[in-house]
Amino acid sequence: MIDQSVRWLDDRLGIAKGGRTMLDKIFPDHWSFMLGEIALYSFVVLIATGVFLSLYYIPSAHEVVYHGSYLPLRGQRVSEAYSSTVGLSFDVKSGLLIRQTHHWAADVFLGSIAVHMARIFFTGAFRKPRELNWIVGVTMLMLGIVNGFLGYSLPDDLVSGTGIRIAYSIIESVPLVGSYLGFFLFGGNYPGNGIIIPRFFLLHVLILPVIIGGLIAVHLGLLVKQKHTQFPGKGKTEDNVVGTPMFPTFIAKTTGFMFMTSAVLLLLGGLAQINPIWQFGQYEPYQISYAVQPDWYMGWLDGALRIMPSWEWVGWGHTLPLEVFLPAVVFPGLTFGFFWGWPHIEKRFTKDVATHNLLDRPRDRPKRTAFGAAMLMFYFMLFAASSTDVMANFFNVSLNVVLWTFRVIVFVIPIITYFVTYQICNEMRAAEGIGKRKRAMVVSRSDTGAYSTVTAEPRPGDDAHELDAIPVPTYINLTPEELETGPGVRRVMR
Amino acid sequence: MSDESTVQPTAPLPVAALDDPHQLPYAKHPGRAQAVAVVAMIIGILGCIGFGITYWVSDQTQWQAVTLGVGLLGLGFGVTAWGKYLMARGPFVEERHPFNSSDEEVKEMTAAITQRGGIVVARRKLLGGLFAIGSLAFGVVAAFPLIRSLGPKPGRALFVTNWRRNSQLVTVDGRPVHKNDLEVGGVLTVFPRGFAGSSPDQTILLRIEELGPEDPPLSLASPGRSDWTALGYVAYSKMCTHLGCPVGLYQEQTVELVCPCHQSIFNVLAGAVPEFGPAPRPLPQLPIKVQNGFLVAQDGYNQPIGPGFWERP
Amino acid sequence: MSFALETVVRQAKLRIAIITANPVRKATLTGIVAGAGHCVISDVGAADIVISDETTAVPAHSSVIRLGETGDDIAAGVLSRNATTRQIVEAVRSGPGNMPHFGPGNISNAEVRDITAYVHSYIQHPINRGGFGLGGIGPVGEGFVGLLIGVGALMLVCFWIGDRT
Repeated sequence: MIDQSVRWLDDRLGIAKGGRTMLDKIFPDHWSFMLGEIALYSFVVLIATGVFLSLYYIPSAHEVVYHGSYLPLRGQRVSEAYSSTVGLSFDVKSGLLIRQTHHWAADVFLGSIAVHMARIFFTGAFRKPRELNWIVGVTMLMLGIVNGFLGYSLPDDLVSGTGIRIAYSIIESVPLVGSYLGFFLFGGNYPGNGIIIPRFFLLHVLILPVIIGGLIAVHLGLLVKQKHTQFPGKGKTEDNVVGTPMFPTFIAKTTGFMFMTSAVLLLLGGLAQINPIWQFGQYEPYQISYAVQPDWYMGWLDGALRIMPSWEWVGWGHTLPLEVFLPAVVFPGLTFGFFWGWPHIEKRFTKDVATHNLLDRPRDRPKRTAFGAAMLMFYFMLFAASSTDVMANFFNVSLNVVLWTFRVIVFVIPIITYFVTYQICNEMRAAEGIGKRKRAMVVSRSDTGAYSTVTAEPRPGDDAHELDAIPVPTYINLTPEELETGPGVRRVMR
Repeated sequence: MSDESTVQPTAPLPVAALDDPHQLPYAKHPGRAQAVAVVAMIIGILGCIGFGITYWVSDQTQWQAVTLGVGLLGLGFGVTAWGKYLMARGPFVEERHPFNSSDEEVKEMTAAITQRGGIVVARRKLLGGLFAIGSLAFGVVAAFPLIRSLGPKPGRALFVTNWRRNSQLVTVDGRPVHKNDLEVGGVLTVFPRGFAGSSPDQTILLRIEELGPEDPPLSLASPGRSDWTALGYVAYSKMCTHLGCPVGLYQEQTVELVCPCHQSIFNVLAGAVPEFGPAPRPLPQLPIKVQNGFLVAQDGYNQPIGPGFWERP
Repeated sequence: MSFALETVVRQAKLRIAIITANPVRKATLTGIVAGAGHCVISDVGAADIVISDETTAVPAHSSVIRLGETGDDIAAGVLSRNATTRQIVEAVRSGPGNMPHFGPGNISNAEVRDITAYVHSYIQHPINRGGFGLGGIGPVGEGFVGLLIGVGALMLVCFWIGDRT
């Protein structure tokens, strides 16, 4: 039957040869190569849960009277967006589970992109021929951050609505065109004519997911075409890939991983409350509360806005609010420009234009690793700075102290990190066999009293891949009995 | 290619040896590994069935999550364990064939573009140029409906609010504010009558002292204006000059307004001048007076309220 | 509000003396009582009812209402999330520490009762339908959990599935 199906398809599409190659495709096994899969499967969960949510959510700022089962809101006039989201949370079966899973999936999606991007950076996987894939990846990171912001702003609650106000002011701060852009996007002076909610909705459920989905296809396509990188090791060269074949092993592992990722996100979605908008209340532009932070992946921008001094330039009949424009427009522009351009920038320093299919161990490139660690620390300090008020409250110190501490450490800590990381890399390289189990030296004495030492045998498992890699076999001719038994399966005659 | 449906190859092809260690499972005790995977899968199935039951029986989000989560976790773990421990362990290798074409082919491609294209461009310059101009023209005008039609021009909207001379101060419910409504240390969000709830008009009214009509007015340091206060009341725009958040936190003892978004602190007794944090300008002060026992505005704001923008002088 | 105070407040116009050494408490009670339409006087002899708290000595009178609990730290009580009705009302009316004062002309007695009810029900016993509340501070706590537990757990799974050489 399989034979007939393959022939049917092959007669129409010519897939047999290419298909065979696909099935034999080799994927290296290192654990850090799976980080991108966390992002991929979180995206799948986002789409699945997102479709469900979009069947109930009403993208409208039009005011209605809430009639659902959350008592304190009964009889209140709220926007339909807010009312439908509270309705999803209280009056739709499994609604809250799906809504929270969706929100956790967004946080994990962006978190896993961050660790995946760090892995790519620290192992030098962005070098030729993979610069294009790096650019695609950074673009997806940017679009993911934007889409996350749009998504958590859809319920029109007090916390996210404040974020929208801030976004409007950031747009307004752009010289020459800022006020025009703000009025165009929002349909008027803030809060606009209400059109911003449906516009956010369209961007969030259609335009950006389609672009991100397309970029994922490009990202994976490039990966298939160029084949995955691998760490240097026994039998691994620049001209081969050693690992497990796509079918059946890799498909089994990755399918299982997809289920497990979905499971973790669902468990978070039902056990850990996230964005309880019924406790925040609906958005009114003249109301505000405490602990108004954006979601974690926007934290670096919020932190930058908080620690920036109040430098506003006024002259010749115009105002340029640098305290907004610099941290919220110029700085992210520089950040993403820098990320996009990194493969090119590194080439300027290393003068390395060769093709690389083997990865670097991070310790073997101490300058790049130290620089990357310092940059990570810099963005982490900014991220931490977005919780100044929560920290002042929690640690019982004055806001003044917290703010000035962050203004200083946001520069000092990355510098310290650079030197410490550089040192650690060099020391790790200097220590031979670091991280591996040591072999015992067996000291023996001969009959005549002479000492001799011999290194003990390696323990089983010390050299995990003792076998040499072989090509994927084309045929495994098994008789029916051998099919049932065969390696790994034992049948006992009763 | 013209074979009938037959599986047998026509030429000898590599066949794996049955006892090839590469075909063996990764697990040292495959039976045990299989048992673990079987248990995991059964837990998975039970979990999924459990979710099915929970969905009909209860509305508890937590039970739904635990059943479905454990279900998927079990199934996932089982399949993964199957792939990792029970399938052929390998390792297998695949050769990388350099995908860049030969020097010849690259030269041919470049030639195809430059030479064939070059002929066209050289012979039909006019057509090529016109098409380029046309595309550019289309590109430019296509931006007009895409961008300009989205919304109105700002005009004077950012420069004026609805506060006018004799605008009555009302609460968000539309109730006029009487001169005795606030105690010392009290604070209230107010709007001009008819525009309750309107974002640009949001104003914060504070009672600093209880002063009589004969008493000297509240003393405010510059840029605050004492003649814009009334009976110990002072009013400022509630929209933060940093990013527009409502400056809703009033610290009574230090007489400061704090913006909760990025912690700008404004000195109420000195015209709401920012003393800490990223806000660049003081909160504009609304001039108020008492008329027939109720608070009204003497005039609108004397400057644009809220965050800075290019056209702000 | 305590039952005794509530009863007093509901009655028709009385002359009431408020005796307490705590000026904040005095201001609060004056606000509540005067706001309910009664006449607050200082002469105990001429008063219909005397309201006092436990630690203040009060001259003999036929009708004395003693309010228990002299907790000065009204703000601390409210912040500790198990504020009593009295602490909430006092906090609203007298604005302890840096908190503003909200008199009856600003927040009416009915509104204060609503605030108290809301604090007792939905703030002190929040409806955490979604699971663990994670401290109730919003995205800061959520970011911690999402990254440490969510991404962390999945990275551990990667560690299990993949190679570690």
